[in-house]
Amino acid sequence: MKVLFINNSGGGFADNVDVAEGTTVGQFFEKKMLDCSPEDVLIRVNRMPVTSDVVLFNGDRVSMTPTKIEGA
Amino acid sequence: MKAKGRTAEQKLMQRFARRTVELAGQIHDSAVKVLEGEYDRMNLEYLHTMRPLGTVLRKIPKQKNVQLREELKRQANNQRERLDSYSRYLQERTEALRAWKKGTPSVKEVYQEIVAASGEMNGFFCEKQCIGFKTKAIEFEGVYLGPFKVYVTVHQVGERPWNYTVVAMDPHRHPHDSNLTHPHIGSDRLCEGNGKAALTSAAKAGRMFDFLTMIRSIVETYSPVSPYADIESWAGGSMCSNCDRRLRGDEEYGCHDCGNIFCCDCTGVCSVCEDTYCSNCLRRCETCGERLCYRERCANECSCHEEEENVEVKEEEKAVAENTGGVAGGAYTFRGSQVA
Repeated sequence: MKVLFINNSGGGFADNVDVAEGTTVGQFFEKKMLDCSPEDVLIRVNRMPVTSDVVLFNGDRVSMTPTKIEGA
Repeated sequence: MKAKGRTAEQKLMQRFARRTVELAGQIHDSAVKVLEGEYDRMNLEYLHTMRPLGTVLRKIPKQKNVQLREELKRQANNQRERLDSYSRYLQERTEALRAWKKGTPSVKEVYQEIVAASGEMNGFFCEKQCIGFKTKAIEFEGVYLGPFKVYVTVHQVGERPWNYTVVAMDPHRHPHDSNLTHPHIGSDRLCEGNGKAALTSAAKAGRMFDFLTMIRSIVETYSPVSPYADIESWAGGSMCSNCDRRLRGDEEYGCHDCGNIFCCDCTGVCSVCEDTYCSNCLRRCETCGERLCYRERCANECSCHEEEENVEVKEEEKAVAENTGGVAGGAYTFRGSQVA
C-alpha cells in the first residue's frame, strides 16, 4: 500500500512511499527516521496526533517534523 | 422542526469556517501566482540569454576584417554552448515546475491544513487575510524572553504564497540592540537557518500545518552556532566560572588570585588578608582549619601559627628563667616565691 510521507527535516521531502500492510506508526518511524528519537519528532497521521501502535492504511498522510530546528 | 436561531458558539464556528474558506481561497490563488511568476521569469531569462548570440551573429557578415570575423565566430560558438547549457537547465526547471503545478494545493487542501493547525497550535487565530498562533513563554539558559505571536499574511514573497512575522508579546530586548527580541529574531523577522528549505517546500505545497509547526520548532530552539546575539549577552551580566549560574552585576565576585568571576556560593574569604578568593585559590590550614589564600604572608600570619609562636616564646622565656634563676622580663613568677 502507499502512504504520503512528509519529512520536514533537512530540505523537506514529500512523496508517496510503499508500506507493508499492517505497519504501525512506530515501525514506520523506526524505518524512516533512523537517527532520530521519537521525543524529538512531531508525528502526525492525517494531521492528527497518534500513538505508535496505530496501524497505517492506504492513502494515509504521515508527517514528521523535528521539534528542534536551529535558526541562524 | 427547524431550530430557532443559533447559539453564540455556533455563530463563532460559522464565522471561523467562513473566514477559513476565504483565506484558503486566497492562499490557493497566491500559490498559483507564484507558479505563473516562475514561468514568466524563465521565459525572460531565456530571451536574455539568447540576445548576445543574436547580436554576434548579426555582426559576423558585416565584419570585413578576417581576424575580427574569426573572433566573432569564436564568440558565437561560446554563446551557442552557453545557450545549450541553459536549455538543459530550462528543461530540468520545466519538469520541476510541472511537479510543482501538480503539487499546488487545492482550496480544500489548504482549508484542511488551516483547520488542522487550529487544533494543534495554542492561541490560534484566523482573521481577514491573516492567521497565526501564540508560542509558549520562551526561556533559554535562564534568560526569559516571553511568548511570541506568529502572524501569517497572504502576500507572495519569492517562492512562498504567504509571508509571516514573529512578534514578541512581552519583549525582553537585547541590552545593546533593541531590534532583537530573541537570539534568532530581529525586527520581527525569524532567521530560519536549518529550516529554510523545508519551510519553502511546505509553503509551495500549501502545507500550512507543517509550516506553522516548523516555525514553532525554530522559535523554541536556541542554536549557539550563529544567532544574532548569544543568549549569554542577553542578561547583560556574566556567569559564575564554577557553577555557571547567571549573575547580575551586584552578584559578581572576583577572585583576588585568578581574577575570574564567581557567585557568592563559590567564593570565600581568607581569614588573614580578608580578600575574596574562589574555592580553588583557597585552602584550609592543616592545624586550625581556617581558610587561607596561598600567599606566604597569610600562611605565616594564620592565627594558629601565632599561637604556636606564642607558645614557643613562652617556652623560651621559661627556659631562660630556669637557667638564670630569676624572672625573665617579668613574664613569669615562680610558684611559692616572691618576685622582687
